[in-house]
Amino acid sequence: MDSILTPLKLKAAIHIGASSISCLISNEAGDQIEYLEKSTSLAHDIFSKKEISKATIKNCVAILNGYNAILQELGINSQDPNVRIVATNLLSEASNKDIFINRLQISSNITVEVLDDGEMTRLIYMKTRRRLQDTAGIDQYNTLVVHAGPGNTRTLFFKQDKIESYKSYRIGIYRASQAVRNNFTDDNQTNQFLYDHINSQLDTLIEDFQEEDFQEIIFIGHEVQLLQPQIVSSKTSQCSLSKLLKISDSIISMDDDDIVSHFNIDYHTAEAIPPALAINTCIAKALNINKINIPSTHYERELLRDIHLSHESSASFTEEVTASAWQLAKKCRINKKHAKQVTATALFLFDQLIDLHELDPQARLLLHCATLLHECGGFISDASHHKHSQYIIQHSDIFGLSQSDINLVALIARYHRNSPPKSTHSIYRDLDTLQQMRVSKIASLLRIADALDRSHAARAENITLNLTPEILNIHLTDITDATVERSAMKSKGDLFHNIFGLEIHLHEEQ
Amino acid sequence: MHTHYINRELSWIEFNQRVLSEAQRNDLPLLERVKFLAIAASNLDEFFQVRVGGLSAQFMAGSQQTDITGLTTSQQLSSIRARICQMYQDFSELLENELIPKLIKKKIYFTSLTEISHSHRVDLTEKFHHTIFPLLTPLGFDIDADENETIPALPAHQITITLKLQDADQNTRIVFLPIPSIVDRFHYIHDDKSLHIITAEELISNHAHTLFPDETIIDSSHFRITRNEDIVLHDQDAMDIAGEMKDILNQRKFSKAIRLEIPVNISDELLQNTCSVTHTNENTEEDHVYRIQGIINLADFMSIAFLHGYDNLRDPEWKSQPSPAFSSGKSMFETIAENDILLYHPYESFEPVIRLIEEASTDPSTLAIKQVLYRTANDSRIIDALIRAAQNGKQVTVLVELKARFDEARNLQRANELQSAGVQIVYGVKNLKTHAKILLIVRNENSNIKRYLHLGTGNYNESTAKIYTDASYLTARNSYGADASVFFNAITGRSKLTALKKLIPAPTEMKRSLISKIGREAKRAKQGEPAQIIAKINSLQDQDIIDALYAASAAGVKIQLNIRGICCLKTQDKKLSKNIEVISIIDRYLEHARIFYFHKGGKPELFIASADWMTRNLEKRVELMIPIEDAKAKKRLTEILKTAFDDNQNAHIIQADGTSLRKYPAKDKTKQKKSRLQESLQEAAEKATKANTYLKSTTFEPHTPT
Repeated sequence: MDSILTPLKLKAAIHIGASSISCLISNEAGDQIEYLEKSTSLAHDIFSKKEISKATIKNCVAILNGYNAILQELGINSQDPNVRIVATNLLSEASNKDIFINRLQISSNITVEVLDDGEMTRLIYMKTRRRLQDTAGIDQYNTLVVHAGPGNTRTLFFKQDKIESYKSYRIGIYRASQAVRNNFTDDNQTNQFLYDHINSQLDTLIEDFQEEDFQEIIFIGHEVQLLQPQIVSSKTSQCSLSKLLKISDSIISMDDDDIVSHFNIDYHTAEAIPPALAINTCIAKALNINKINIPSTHYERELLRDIHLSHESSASFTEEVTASAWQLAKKCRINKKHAKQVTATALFLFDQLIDLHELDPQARLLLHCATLLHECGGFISDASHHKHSQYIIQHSDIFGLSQSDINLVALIARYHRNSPPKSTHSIYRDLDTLQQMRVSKIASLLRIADALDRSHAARAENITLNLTPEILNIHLTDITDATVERSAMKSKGDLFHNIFGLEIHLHEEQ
Repeated sequence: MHTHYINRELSWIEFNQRVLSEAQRNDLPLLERVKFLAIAASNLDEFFQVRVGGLSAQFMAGSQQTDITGLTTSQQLSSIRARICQMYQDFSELLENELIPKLIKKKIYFTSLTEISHSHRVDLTEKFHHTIFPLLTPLGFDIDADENETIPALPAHQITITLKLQDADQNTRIVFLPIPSIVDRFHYIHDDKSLHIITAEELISNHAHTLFPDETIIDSSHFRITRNEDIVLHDQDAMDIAGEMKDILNQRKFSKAIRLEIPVNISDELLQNTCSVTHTNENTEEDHVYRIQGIINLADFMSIAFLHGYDNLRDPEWKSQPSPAFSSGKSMFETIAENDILLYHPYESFEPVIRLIEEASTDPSTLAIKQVLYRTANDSRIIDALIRAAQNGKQVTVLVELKARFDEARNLQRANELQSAGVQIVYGVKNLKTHAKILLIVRNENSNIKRYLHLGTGNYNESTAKIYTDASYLTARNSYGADASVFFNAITGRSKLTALKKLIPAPTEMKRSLISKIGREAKRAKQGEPAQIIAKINSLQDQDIIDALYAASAAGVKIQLNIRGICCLKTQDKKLSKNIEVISIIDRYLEHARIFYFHKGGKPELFIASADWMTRNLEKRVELMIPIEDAKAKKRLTEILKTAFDDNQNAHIIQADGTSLRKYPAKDKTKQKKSRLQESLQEAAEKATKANTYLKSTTFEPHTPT
């Protein structure tokens, strides 16, 4: 017993969700050590009162304190980077969101991140990817993945294993149940009202997908996965549309008490079951899909696992993100050749100078997207097109990027020409110092890459770098006269020089 | 009235009759018989405090509720009274006609002060003045006083002496003199080879005149009251459970008297005063006034049963054996990590369970210890170890069930001790009593979490572990450990109870699971497969379970039940229970383990549990039912279950009317041998120890430098 204790290598993820707060603690191998879950009425509060009640805040604080005690028991410091706590983006609909977040942070001593739509999409994507990989032959089909969340419903459309489109609709479990409550008539009419209400919101979704040809639909979500054993066959995890309709009707007509005792769940969850089921059922019916899949896994636990992984995005995910950015770029009719050339150069610079800039892989992804999109503002007008680029990107969706990441991409694209970042630029000014530095570093690389393709002729295809303490030497192979590039570098190399203190020298090499 | 069930109170009384029947056995050593008498009397006290107390309160509140047999509260109270009167008669006859004469033969006398020598009398007077007199507080009482005057609150359980005093002017008054609980009930005088026993009431009555120098005692008697202790904490809205529990304990001291015991020869005047001060009426059946022939409060006879120097009047002691599974040189963790271990107490010692906690308290790899405590011993080594662990920086979380009946005060104290040592304390779960017996130790082994568990059927109480039969299961199986972690997170309020893989908790799952397992056996039986259920429990009262058993019996499942106490199932009924056999074993140790066997088509499932098959256990308590997966442990538990049905010494067969009939060896041609479950388990444990000792004497373990 006198061996020296080696510390436990554990990680923890906490998710403040719509109707519960959950926590997963796992070891290095990813095995679950603890899983904790407690109910809250966040969504209920937010949709009925537009704010989180004092009682709910108190309850959330108590739950987090309890989780913190368990982290401590296992010797995990809540400040450790292996501890991540995220909150549903539903919070943004609460008038007292900031008070709530502050209160949690102060009492639990953990920084709470709010999951935005982009990050949520990314988590759903990762979940789905796994599901698709697990299902043999599914990469041959077109599949629609539907996630009915508390406030919004997300769809991801996969065409033979590749994401084709993704959308978010303002149809949500708690939104629907609130609408029913506001228009409450009597019990018998409630169910019909629920269906009618949801169907009335489905027009855009139907329009988006009615032309598409897909064979399968996958429903994911806390509630629907909870009911999975009741809905689908245990062998195939599938059921038919008619079976789904039948089961939905019977469950939706049950009252809260019946649902609680029948499924052995708590009242918070029970409240969400009928609208969740109704949304899924209405979508399946509207699109007339007969092969319905529901994964047998535990939704919340999987989500927590992915929260751990979310910054270690997979290669396929990165591909999907840049593909989405490229779709947008093409929509704006950019010069494809130039964009591709600048991208190749920028990423080459990023990879070669990694010891200098010390940026993470996520920054590389942002650079990649910004480079593809840097001239999209030209779609509006050539004059001040960098500002139009910023505007377009900022107000577009890029699959898998959170709004804050999209804002960064927009800024990076903006700074590909003219003025470098300044504290008078409003969106830039609102970033914290670390993020400002990130933008500057990434933009400085984009500016160099852009300067090197000033001719828009993809002349600088082969370059090599050589770094001295004061100079970044760029050797341009196969170019006899780099006057154009050198002159462009004069106006664009400034940012790099300012940040890294290095001059840029171009050398023609034959 | 025809009914499918037996009333639970009447069934309980039959259980106590079985206990009393041990005292009636001529073949038992005399002091063993005295012990069973005392146990039966003490059981009866508790029955009044809780069951009759509860029913009386319901009756007073005008409850129209009926029990599963259709009896109203009032009908139950009068049936109880009728049955208890019979039992009191059995008590008196046994004591006066059998035990006291037999004690006299052994030169043990119940004596009055006048019968002892002058010098002994002087000694006792001395003792009275020095140790008893200063503690006495007489309480005056005026039966004609108006209603607003305070009536003295007399203590329950203890004997109170009633005196009628007269002064020089011929004025009389009544005074009550409660005997303080710290005064010994019996005073012993060793004289030559004989022993004289003088009761406290005799000693004090004879010296009471010294308290009232200006008055004369012209009449005296005594009595004992029992109060309703069924005042429980309604903790749904409790803000400060510890504080409110203190209030409850206080309230019980002033609750209604629900039983009055008086000597048969009490005078009318003193009886009237006694009834008046205790708010009872001898003519009201529900008030339970009993006239007792001979000594009152036989529970106190326990001290006589354990008198020093009379070992010849007792059975030789059975010693708890060390389990061969553990060796002193090897850490408990190592042993448990290798194999699951089943202990069956008290044949096998409880020591390993204590050792496990003690080892964890100083073990550097131990991160956390979590435990549920329901009833603990005085000077508990377990509590000491938990305190030490907390002081050594371990994360110790203990759920102390404040609502554990009769142990509330002690548990409050324990909780305070633990809390001041830095242990995280939880005072139980709202609306439920936490009755599960579970201990979880979390260790860091090579940077990984490893969990060790003790799961049991009995309390973490080293004193009762010596006299209650209970099972302990020690395991380091990951799935069990993960479940235990979830369970603790749930009962400490940190998480909701998510689905468990192995352990089956009440109130959420256990009842449903039992009914489905009983149903499964029935289904097999219907399809002509062999089907069998064997269960050992303390009480069977839940109607849904009983109905499931009836249905299984009808389907042809062979059902054997070994039920110590209450059995509301109606046995020997051709329609309901033709395949159900119910026995009850009353022996030296209190049968306490709960073990269930389901045949499952020849791949039997075995469980141990903290819960009885009572509605309160299955619906109002946090309990655990634990599947036993280790093949060796399964075999052993099956044997324990089956051997009970061979017992023809201490087993009773439960009859259709709820009464019981002792089993004897068949006297026919088979010439059945005597068989006794507890004796055979003791022999087996001793044999195992011997074999292990022999093994150790032939294989030497050298001490090596570490």
